[in-house]
Amino acid sequence: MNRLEGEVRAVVATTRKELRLMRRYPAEIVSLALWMLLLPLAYIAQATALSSDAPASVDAFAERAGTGDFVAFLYLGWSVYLWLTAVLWGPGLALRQERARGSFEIVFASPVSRFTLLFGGAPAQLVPALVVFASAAVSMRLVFGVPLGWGDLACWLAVLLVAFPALMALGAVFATASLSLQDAAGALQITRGVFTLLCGVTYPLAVLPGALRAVGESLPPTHLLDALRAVTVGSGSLTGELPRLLLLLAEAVPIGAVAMALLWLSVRYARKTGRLGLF
Amino acid sequence: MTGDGAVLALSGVSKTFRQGRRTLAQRVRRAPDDRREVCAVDGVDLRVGAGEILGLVGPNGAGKSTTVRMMATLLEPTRGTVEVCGVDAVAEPGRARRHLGVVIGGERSVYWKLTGRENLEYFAALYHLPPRVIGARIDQVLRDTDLLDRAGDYAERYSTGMRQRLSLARALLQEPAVLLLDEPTSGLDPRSAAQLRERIARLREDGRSVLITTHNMEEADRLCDRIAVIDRGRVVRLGAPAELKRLVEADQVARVRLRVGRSTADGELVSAVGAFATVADKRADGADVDLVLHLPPGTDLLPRLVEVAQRHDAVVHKVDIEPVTLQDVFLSVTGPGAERAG
Ligand SMILES: Nc1ncnc2c1ncn2[C@@H]1O[C@H](COP(=O)(O)OP(=O)(O)OP(=O)(O)O)[C@@H](O)[C@H]1O
Ligand SMILES: [Mg+2]
Repeated sequence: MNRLEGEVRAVVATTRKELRLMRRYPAEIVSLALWMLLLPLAYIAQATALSSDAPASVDAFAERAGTGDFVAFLYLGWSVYLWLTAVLWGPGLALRQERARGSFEIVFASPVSRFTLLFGGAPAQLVPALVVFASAAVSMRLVFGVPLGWGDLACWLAVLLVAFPALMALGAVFATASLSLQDAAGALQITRGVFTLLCGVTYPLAVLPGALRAVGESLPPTHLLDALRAVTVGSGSLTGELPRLLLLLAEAVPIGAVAMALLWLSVRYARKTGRLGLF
Repeated sequence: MTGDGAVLALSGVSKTFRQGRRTLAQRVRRAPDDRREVCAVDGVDLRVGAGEILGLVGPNGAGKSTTVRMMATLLEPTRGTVEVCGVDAVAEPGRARRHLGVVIGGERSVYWKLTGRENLEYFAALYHLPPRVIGARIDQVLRDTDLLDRAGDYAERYSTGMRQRLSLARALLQEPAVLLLDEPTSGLDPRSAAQLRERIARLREDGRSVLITTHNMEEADRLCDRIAVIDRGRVVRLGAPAELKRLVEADQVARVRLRVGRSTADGELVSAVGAFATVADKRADGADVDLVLHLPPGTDLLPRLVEVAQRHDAVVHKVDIEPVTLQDVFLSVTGPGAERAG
């Protein structure tokens, strides 16, 4: 069996292992679905109160956001936020847990490549993504009567698949960084706080001051969110969003390279200091 | 293979760790680095031949696990070379790993929410085993470790010993030429430990080489072809169990408890005993003095001991006489009092 085939099989086996573990610790997935249903409600209530159903304020929102449908706007914002949280948390925590328990050393002592070590479980991360967006779609449709059709869902799926590599790469950067961070949970809070602020989860980026807005617009999750909003409630279409989507796809490469470099560095450091097996 | 047919060879291997903390503020200020340098392994030479079981014994913190980790490519030596089946394990860790089966961290290193078989399936893929052999190989190692009938249970429902066996099964998956086992029998009951030893002994018959660390001297004595005693990072003795036992210049070992009176001077008592036996160990606990004595051939201990005790206002409370064990060797060659000879 050649090397490549072996690695492919290792990726399949890692994914299968991750899926099994997800199934056997179901609370995480269930809570993700529940959060997706509940989190936007507070913000929708707030938006309703602030606009007091006055057409003028909704128009003002629409002018900046590109849509007056703030229910869909908020649901999509929070779904990207939750997916991002799952991506940052899932693999990062898994690596740390493995290290704490000792299986990381054993996995590392196998001949499998570092790429597989880092990205082997990534396909399994489609599950939380699908759960988040399915829960969002159901809530939007059943609770608020947003007219979502199968066409919309197909568009979502296409956008998700394009965004998937970039998000996995981000997750991998966070996972490798968290190996050497003292307080990974704290770092996660900060990271997702920054994303909430800069990626326009609950408001259009147009309201941010220029510099922050420029930073926000350069972040991959912003591209994902903009594309989702455009194809769902905006005037955009999948083909119209193509440039943005291609950019999102391309961003996966440098981010993934950063993750690999970080892993390479931290493994080298660990092989010198013996930190591979320690917390 | 290396010249002398060793499948595992360490030459001049050292590992230095920095111990202590260096805070971010110190780094930023570029303050001088005042962490201690600890030499965990200090110039170790070891060779393990094909079909040989080499035991590594030594006190806590002697550097056994560090040595195993360097052989397993998990740690880079500060100095020296490690060769596994002729592959330079420092320069080409990836190739060396194909010849190695590693048990480190024992039961903690398996996935608790996967069944035994699922654990092995996952690792079989990481080892790049061809899919057509995986099923049969997994059955084989499960049978070898007596886990076949529990293969479908989650590892969390296993006992400690079963998880230890599962980690051995995993190490056997790629049929490695060299097995590195760090305390594989810790936490096992005597029967399970004996069974595991039998399994390890059978590996030798298949021509595999095993390096095993243990704190159980009897285990090392029974299982190992040769034993390296390591203390403070150095190999202080190396040889077959029988050879090592000859290092203790005695046929028998006596464990003696004396109860001393108020007027007894411990030092004088011990030196009086030293006139007819070697005092290998002395421990005082209140009025009780425990001595371990190495007896030269033909020593008639009891009368002389009683006579010395009387002379020093002490009473003989207990005397156990046993043949020399590896434990006596261990105690005499390791620890603060032992000279650091090769
Ligand atoms: N990653 C590390 N960083 C700093 N010091 C370390 C590290 N790993 C081990 N040491 C030190 O190296 C020395 C040897 O440790 P090692 O774990 O090899 O001992 P051991 O012989 O396996 O002991 P035990 O019988 O208790 O398992 C100890 O002093 C330990 O504190
Ligand atoms: Mg140890």
